[in-house]
Amino acid sequence: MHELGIAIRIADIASRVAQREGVIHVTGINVQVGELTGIVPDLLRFSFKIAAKDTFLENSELIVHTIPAIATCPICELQFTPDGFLTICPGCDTTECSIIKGMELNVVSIAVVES
Amino acid sequence: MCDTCGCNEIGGSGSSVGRPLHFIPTPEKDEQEHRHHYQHCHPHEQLKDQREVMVTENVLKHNNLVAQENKRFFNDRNILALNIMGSPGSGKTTFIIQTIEALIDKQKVYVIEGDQFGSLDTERIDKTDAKVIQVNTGNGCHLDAMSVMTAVKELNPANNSLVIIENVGNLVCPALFDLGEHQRVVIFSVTEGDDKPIKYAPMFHEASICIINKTDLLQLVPFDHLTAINNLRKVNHHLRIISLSALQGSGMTEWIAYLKKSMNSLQS
Repeated sequence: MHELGIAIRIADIASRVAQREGVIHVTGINVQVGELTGIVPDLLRFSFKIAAKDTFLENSELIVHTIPAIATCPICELQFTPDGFLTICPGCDTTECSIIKGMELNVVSIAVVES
Repeated sequence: MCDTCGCNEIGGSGSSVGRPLHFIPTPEKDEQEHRHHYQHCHPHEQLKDQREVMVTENVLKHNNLVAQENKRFFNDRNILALNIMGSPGSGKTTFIIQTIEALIDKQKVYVIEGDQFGSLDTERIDKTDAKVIQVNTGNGCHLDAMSVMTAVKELNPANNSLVIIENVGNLVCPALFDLGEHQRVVIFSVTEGDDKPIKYAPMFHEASICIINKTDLLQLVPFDHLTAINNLRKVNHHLRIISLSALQGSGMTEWIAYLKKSMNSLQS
């Protein structure tokens, strides 16, 4: 259940940015979660509610945008959707492919209302 | 794909697995297709006076920055740092004790023991000549860079030494957290089954070395060694795989030779 630790970090980042911007109403926090990070979006949203409880982020919505995985083949340069971490190139069957998308874990933006 | 919200018409569902992507959007295309982030992603209307503040910060940035500091600390002192991960009961502590015993005559070894509760593993390692410190994570399921930094400061490891970090027994969560180590070692034992690399792929994908442990039990369990290696290769083709029995000692020579070579290359 490492989602709680991640949720606390997200709340920290959102708080810091909100303070810097001089706002106290954060309506939404947009986060990117790569589908290969192992983070479960539902658990992350649930954890965020716990992390934000009794803070000024209590009513903020955590908006999770899942980033689909993409792998690339070093031989035929094909880009394809891997089967999780199984990156077998559909073009030439090589297993020596690299994952180029799907490991993201970023706070992208926060939606704020001027107070 | 939109870099702001990740919306992507081309992928995500299981049905597209293995299919080539014929269309990888360019940033310019994103701009044209995707200006009104809130309106298309979310049903609620944009509130008056609402604005969006761009952040673009990795959630693990703080952990990763501290991990970099840890790594700098290790590098400045020519210390090789290992992050040992694996399921509870995969044999991590036995493997660490055997590693200490093989090296301790010529090499100072320090151990950071990560466990949710108690100090049983620390007590076992304390019987060797390695200096050990316990980190209890409580309800936490992994070590992070900050807890390792605190432990390292207290351990104060000597120059040219080996620091072994035994992560919390867990094949899932520790994979996400960089501790500043040089090598990530994942241990899985033959009693766990040859399918584990596929079922817990992130851990094996992020590791640099895989130890297949408890090979002395190979005759007793339905574990196919070749299948295990093929599964590991499917998930991570860079992985160095060493099969051994930490309890019986067979195969440890290859691991110790590899470790000595790693330390020499760090210190040269």
